Amino acid sequence: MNIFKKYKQTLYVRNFAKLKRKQFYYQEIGNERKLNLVNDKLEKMSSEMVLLEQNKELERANRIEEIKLKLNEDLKDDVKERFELELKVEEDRQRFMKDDNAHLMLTNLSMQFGGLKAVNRLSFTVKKGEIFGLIGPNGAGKTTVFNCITQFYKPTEGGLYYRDRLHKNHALIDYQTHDVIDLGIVRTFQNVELVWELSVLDNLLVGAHSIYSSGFFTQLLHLPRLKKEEEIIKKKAIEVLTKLKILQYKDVSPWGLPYGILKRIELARTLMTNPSLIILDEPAAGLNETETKELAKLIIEIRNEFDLTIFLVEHDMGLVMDICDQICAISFGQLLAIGTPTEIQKNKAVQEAYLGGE
Amino acid sequence: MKDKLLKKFHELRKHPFSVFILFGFVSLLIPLFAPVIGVTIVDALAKTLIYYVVALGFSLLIGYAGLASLGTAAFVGIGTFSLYTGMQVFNLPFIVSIALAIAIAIVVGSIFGFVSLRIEGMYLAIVTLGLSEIAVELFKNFPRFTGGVSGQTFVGISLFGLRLSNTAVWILIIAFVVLAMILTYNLINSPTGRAMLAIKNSESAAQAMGISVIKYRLTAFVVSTVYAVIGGVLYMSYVKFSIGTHWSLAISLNILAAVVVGGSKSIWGVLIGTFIIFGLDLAVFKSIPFLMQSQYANVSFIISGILIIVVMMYFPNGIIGLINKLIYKIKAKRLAKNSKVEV
Repeated sequence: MNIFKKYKQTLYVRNFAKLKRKQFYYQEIGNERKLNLVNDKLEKMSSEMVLLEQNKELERANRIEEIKLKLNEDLKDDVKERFELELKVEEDRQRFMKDDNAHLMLTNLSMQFGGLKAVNRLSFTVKKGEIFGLIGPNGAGKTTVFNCITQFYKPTEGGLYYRDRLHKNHALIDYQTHDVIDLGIVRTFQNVELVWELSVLDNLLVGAHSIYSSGFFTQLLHLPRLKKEEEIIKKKAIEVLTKLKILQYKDVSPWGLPYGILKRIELARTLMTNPSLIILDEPAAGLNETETKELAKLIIEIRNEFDLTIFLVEHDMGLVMDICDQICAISFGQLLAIGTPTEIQKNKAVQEAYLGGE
Repeated sequence: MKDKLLKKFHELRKHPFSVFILFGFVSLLIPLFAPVIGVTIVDALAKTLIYYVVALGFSLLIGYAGLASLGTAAFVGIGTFSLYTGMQVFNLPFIVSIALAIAIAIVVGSIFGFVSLRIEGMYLAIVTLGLSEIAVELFKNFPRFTGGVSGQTFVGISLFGLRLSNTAVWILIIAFVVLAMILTYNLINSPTGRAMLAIKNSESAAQAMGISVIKYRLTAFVVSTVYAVIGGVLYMSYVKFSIGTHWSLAISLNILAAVVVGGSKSIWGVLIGTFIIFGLDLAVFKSIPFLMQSQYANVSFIISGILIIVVMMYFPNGIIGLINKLIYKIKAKRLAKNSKVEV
């Protein structure tokens, strides 16, 4: 029964995303009649989703009551701990719902691989429109945090909440890896993951995969609808390439291009789907000093231009201190400090983690 | 008026499909030369073209989705027997039988596809090999549909009450070949083809871009199975005989070899590969009297084996990669010459 409910929800999300794609397409080609139809359906669906959400809220409230009752009884320590954690997560969730500025929140997030706790009870909030940096020594669990957010790993404990552009709240744990992009979260990878067999422009089209609305048979027969859609998306890709000043590479394979350009291509690819949160995994790795400076400028530029929130992991302290509004330092999966760059620089615990204790 | 027509002609000439259609028209003429080149060669060419359809589907699977399967031959076998079952056991019309074959292909392809979600690479090849051997055993044990170990003869297909001669079936084969080429071209130049390449390149990156691995792996398997089954239907229509034990590892490996030798990501490359692996064997080695003596019967295997080794070692992109390189060099030379004249 539970599985069925969960499946129903993912189905809702997918159909919603499908309708959004259609809306985008009809908007672009200016088909008023179809657009209205799609809008009606979207509205109907939104109200249904609100109902679903209310049901879930009720269930959650019941669960909390139950836990509170159970906590009064005599319980084993580990069970008690788990219940208390659940209460804490719920409390944080309530706070997140009320906080208008919050964009992404991790509460008491843990990720365990066998006996190793890669992330241990980590909590922080990313605000809308800021550049948030996550730093830590090697093996601190930064990439694991990323993978938890983008659902490559399902966290073993804790909560992950996100608010999209339409001010809807989502518990990210309910989504599958390939559905996360529909919510507006895109990521890049540490070692550039482009499709080497395709040209740069086609790579951007791969990045736009989630905004295509043509079905399989439309693609198999190359119906006019696909052609129109490709034109729209290609135009957009060229716009993005122009903005990032890499238009001259549009028809060549990315194979053999300088690393700085590859990073730019990957950044361009993330911009194809109108995201609201971009997650950058070590954007400056392998870049020289001038390239890093250019990248810093570029990140701030796209943040302002596309109205984005940027969340990045970085080893290059210069870059982090220059561009981040808020920094979170972690070590061995545990939170060390959160604050502005100057606060982090002065923090004793952070200094110790990086330079070693006395 | 003339200018307009000329412009239209140039537009058509530049259309990607025109080459495929031209290829179709040229191949249509081959049976006319049957008295000159002999019926055996025409038969061999027909078989090669049938295997080309199968290989095209397989190139989609291995070249784009990056899934190595050794079950292709079993799918072809399923195609042959489902045509027989449809037309001769249940007395259905040809079109309905093809629809039945495709329906079976979709079911079987999804079963194989679900396996591919769990395992990859060499292990997937081994599992699909196992599944295909199961299929061969099933062929042996359902004599009503497959003729069991002695094989099944087929009376031939009839369209609208007319029994088709082999020349008519040749036209049908060419029609399907051209259709397969066009559909493959469409698919690899659409979001689906790009998504498959992205998954092959990096599964996690593809997922981060919203590409569902399940969906596209299943699509790749189902499409390649449908191609293989269509190949089987054409084989049964032309050869009119199919035996279960024929559809085992050797044919699967030959198809794999054809795709790899020719160039797994190119429509023309696969054609070249199929002609080298199947065409040379069927049309050349099996028709030279000297080589038909029993002690030389397997000489084609030796030659195709050597070819695979050489191609894999020196031209990892297949023979089409070599040809593209040569064309590029010639063009570059011509360009250099022209620029010198201008200077």
